[in-house]
Amino acid sequence: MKPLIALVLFIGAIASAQTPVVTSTSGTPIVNSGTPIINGAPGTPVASGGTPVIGGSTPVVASGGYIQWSTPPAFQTMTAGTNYWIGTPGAFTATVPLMANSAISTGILEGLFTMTSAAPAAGNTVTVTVYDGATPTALTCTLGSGVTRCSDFTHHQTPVTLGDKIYVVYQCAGTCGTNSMGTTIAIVGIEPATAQQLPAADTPEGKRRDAAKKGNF
Amino acid sequence: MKRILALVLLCGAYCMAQTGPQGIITHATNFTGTSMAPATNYYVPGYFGGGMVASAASNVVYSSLNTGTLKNFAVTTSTLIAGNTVTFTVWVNSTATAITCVMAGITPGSCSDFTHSAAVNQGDIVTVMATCSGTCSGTTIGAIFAEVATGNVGYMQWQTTNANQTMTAGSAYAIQPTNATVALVSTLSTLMFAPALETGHLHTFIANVGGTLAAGNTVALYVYVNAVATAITCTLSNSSSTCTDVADSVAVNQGDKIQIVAICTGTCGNLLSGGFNAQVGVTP
Repeated sequence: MKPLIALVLFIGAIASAQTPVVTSTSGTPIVNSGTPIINGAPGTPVASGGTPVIGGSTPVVASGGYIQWSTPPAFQTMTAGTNYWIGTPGAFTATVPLMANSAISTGILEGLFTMTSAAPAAGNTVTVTVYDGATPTALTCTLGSGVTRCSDFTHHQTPVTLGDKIYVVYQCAGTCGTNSMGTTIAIVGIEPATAQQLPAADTPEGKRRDAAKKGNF
Repeated sequence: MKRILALVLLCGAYCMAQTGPQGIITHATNFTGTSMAPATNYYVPGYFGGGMVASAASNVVYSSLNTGTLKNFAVTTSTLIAGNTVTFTVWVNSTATAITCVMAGITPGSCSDFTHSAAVNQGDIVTVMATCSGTCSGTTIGAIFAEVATGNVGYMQWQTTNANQTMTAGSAYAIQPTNATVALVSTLSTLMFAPALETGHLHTFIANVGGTLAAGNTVALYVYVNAVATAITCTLSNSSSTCTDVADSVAVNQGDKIQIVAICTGTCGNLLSGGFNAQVGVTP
């Protein structure tokens, strides 16, 4: 009986101590935010002084979060087979936008949702892909005739590094042309993780990640 | 033994539960403002550059990317005409939640609900609805910025229009919070702000300019808390279109006014650049 009680207490301790935990698709645990850690010598206050300043030479806290993109309220014109980047902000552009959102933590790209006010016309489909810099990731979904929303909450093994430029790219198949889509928004999530918490290169998910980085996932 | 196995499996399900990433969902209008009729529901749009809309069909909206708790709601506006009261409510799918705040005629104005919460599932549609009572005629309300969190952490995000910006050397300009329909604003006293949704720390500042600054000019960007510069800052230059400050963090209280301020050094004027984009993390 004692071993059973000990096991229950042990499991209870683990459960109660857990901050939110996410897993990669293959089950490797990735610890979410947790208690902020303050490191380093105090930072130098600016001339105007102000609120208490904490900081130093070491990054102090990790924070996941959402990145949002949006076009203005207008229809989008697309040529079939061409990549279009949703602006930050602005209409779709066929070139990589210079004004861009970045990953503000090292972590895992996780969760894509996009919506348009006008679905692709009959016979057209639009594939939506999250890019880490110039590299397409596994986060993708497809809009079709009559479909104004799509999401990908399944693929979340793509690691990103703090400062990586994150883009959402739309590609139309079919006749496409003017009014290919309506006003469009996109939102992507990032879960924080340290390099030590990311899948190692020799693990299945690490190999999948590296293959994705090479564009052949 | 079966009980032990069940317990282990239950713990495994709990400990490994996929909740998805937490973050802040923002909605914003343009700066033209919106004419509101009394007792009519208007959506604060999910897209940038439009006024509020009275029809869901005209809106595009964001979904929560995690299963968790929707909480910490704050709204700011550039103007709300006296004699009007506007109630803002967070909706999940087609249902109003208890998360709501009320703003009476005030310029600029803000309201928040840091008390109520609502359960949210991954993929649920999150919208912000506004309803006017009072005279509710003419351009009742100006620009609106609304934010609600799906957990405890997130990024805050600011953008100007993606167009050339004009700056006088040494003068302070601000980026309006996640509106992207206006250039840099020089009148800081009437500036809208992004309220901090959590008591905690601001950290990890990343800024980007959508072009190349004219040679000889630099633009320093500062994170302000309650109109005071903090140690969080970075500088853009002709050779650097992105800058970061990952070394400093600053304590904030829930509801503190967070702003991004830009100061140009050099000849300045027309910077021959695109717009500015800034992101900062917030963690309890």
